[in-house]
Amino acid sequence: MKSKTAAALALALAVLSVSAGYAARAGSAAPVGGRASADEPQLPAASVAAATKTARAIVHGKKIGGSVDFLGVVTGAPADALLAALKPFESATGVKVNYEATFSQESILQTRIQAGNPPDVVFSSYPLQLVQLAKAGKLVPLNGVLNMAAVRKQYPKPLLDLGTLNGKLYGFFSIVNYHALVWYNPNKYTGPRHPTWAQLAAWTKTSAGQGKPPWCMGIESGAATGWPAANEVLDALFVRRYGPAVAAKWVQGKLSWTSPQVKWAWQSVGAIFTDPKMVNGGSAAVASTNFLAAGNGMFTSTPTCYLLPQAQWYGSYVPGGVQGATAADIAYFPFPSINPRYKDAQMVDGNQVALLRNRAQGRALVAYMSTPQFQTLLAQTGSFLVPNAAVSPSVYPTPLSRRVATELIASKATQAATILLPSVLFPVAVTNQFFKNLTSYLQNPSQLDVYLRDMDSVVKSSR
Amino acid sequence: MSQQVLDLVLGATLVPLGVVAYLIAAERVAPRERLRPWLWLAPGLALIGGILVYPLLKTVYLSFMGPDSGRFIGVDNYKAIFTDATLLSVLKVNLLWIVVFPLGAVLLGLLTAILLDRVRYERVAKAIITMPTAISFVAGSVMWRLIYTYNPPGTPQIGTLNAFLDSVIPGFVPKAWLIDSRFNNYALIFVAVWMGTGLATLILSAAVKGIPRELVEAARIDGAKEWDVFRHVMLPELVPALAVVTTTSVIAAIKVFDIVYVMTGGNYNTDVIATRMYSEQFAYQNTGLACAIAIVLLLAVTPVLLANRGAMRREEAWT
Repeated sequence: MKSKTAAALALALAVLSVSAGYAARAGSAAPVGGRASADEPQLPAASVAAATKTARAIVHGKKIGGSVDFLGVVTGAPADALLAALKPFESATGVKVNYEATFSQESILQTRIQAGNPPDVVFSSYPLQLVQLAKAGKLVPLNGVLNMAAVRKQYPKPLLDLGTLNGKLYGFFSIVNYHALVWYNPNKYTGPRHPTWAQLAAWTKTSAGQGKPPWCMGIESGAATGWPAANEVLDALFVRRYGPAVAAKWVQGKLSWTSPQVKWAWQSVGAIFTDPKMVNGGSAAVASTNFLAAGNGMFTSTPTCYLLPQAQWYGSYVPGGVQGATAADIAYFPFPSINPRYKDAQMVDGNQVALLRNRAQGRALVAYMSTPQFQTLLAQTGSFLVPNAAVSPSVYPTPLSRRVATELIASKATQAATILLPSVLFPVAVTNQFFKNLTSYLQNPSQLDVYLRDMDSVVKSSR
Repeated sequence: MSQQVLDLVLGATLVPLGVVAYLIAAERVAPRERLRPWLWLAPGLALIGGILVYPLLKTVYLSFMGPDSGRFIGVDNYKAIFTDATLLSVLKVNLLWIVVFPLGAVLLGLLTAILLDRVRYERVAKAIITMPTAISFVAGSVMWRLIYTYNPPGTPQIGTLNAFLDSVIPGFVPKAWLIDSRFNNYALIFVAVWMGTGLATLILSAAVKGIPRELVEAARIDGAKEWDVFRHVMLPELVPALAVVTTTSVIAAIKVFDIVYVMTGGNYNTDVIATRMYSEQFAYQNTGLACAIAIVLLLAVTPVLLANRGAMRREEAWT
């Protein structure tokens, strides 16, 4: 296997874990130790020196030694990148970081806590679990551990709020993944480049009428099949039309799945992905195409589709991940605005850092991971997007990642309107049933009411 | 790592040493005949109790509790299994497995066992037929997913089956084998048959070889047609082996998990008891319902298991 392909595969795996940690929830229980790519990312010496200095300052110049258990979901090449960014910490403090990656983080964390053997630090993609753990007193509050003044200034408030309970911070996002961007091939796509939903709908209708299905989609993802349609389209439509406040009601179970708002979102998704004129191959192709291959039709000499709603990772996946595609073949626009009031609302998920054991090594690691110096290193690996506003977008290695960082993280409007992806905030049982029912609905559109009623009953029983 | 190796070495030496020490001590302390067998049995019983009986009782207990095991809810979980529409459809799919899979595996196994008995290349053919048995279910499922791959009509078919049918049948419309609920369960069961026929062939072939030559030849000399030889001479001799193969396949069908989990994830109306149990526990975190499903699964398997044991005894006694 060429190393480039290997790296792409590894990225794909990481994507599964970072952007769709639901796969883990559904439980493919393989602990992933093997690395697809062995080449360490080369980081600029100046940044490494700055990070080393920061780490040294955290431990007041003392080599405290020992080791720290660190549990995460990032695997493959991105895991190498993460560890490379942690190297300066290890060399400055003498603390050895024992990183363990697993796709079933949620259950492993729960089991280890029950067994009285929690890891020191967790890199979690389950914000709800962290809230529950914080409530149960299993997490160490970070207020005395981090430089809170700097953290408050550097991290978007909505993201910090997600890790805050009773005024104390228990977790902060160290990696973020922006959802629901619309990707296209600038060399083939002829439609509007920054449209509203109405403008895009008009263009897609015309394209469908000419026998050219406009949308690409593939939702096959093993046990988590369905998430691309849920996260990248349905959630996005809902938030763009009804806004974060109504979305919050929905995730809290205060807005029923049979409500006209939720039903509208489902029907809008159905109208696109069950129609062979709108999406190549119709619902059978949507269901049987793997999410990684969903956009391949955009890069063939005669495209079979033109637009793919997918999270921000897709931009770095395409060059190398899709045969014959290069960085010049991929571009995006934000998910179209429906109600102009909510045009800036951006949906994210990501990995939160939390501390489970109050030991000096763990405290130092968490403090280090919150600093802009560490975040800069993460950004420079090219594997991650980081939410720290003190990290300049210019440090990202590719033009596309610089653009994403500029538009999504450095933009004040977007920062203020950043919300967590609804699918991540539902109780796990609801999210899983959501993906499953949406998948079934695309095969049997006439049964919509049955699926929505079923969602309501799952919500009821998960409470 | 070295710590783990050390633990391993310590465990591998200390545990047997401990058992030996226990037995020596037991012999010293209690030489009385009545107590003696129990002292020897105790370590084994403790193990069975700890890893079989206790978990079973705990599962029964949890099956009467709510999702987080905190609240007693009586038989609600069991009621749900037989009333909830999605759970009922799971039972229906499993029933299809229980009927179709043993039928396919046994019939094909019998057919190959009997036909191969008459050809010179029997060993090669048998090796080929049993080969899929050696493949893990997960690997086999991944292979068959590639074979069943669907691409929309008009695009190149990269799934082996659709590509093949496309090239031999003019105007063939590609089928979404794993998604279309008219035939997806049969597509999955076929994979199980493909992997299960080998074992059936081996057992039945051994049984065919065990049929006394004289019996078959006497029947032929008496003028019996081939079908009659099979029906009235061979088949009765094969009944014990058939019973073993059938019950084993039924148990496999009741417990089937890997194929469904890997190929469809239980989507598109292909969920079976075991995959549902898995998702109730690990995806929906409903421990109570998952345990109730586990108990139902156990109760469904038990009679077949007993029949299987009986059949095996008869088969052994017979040969």
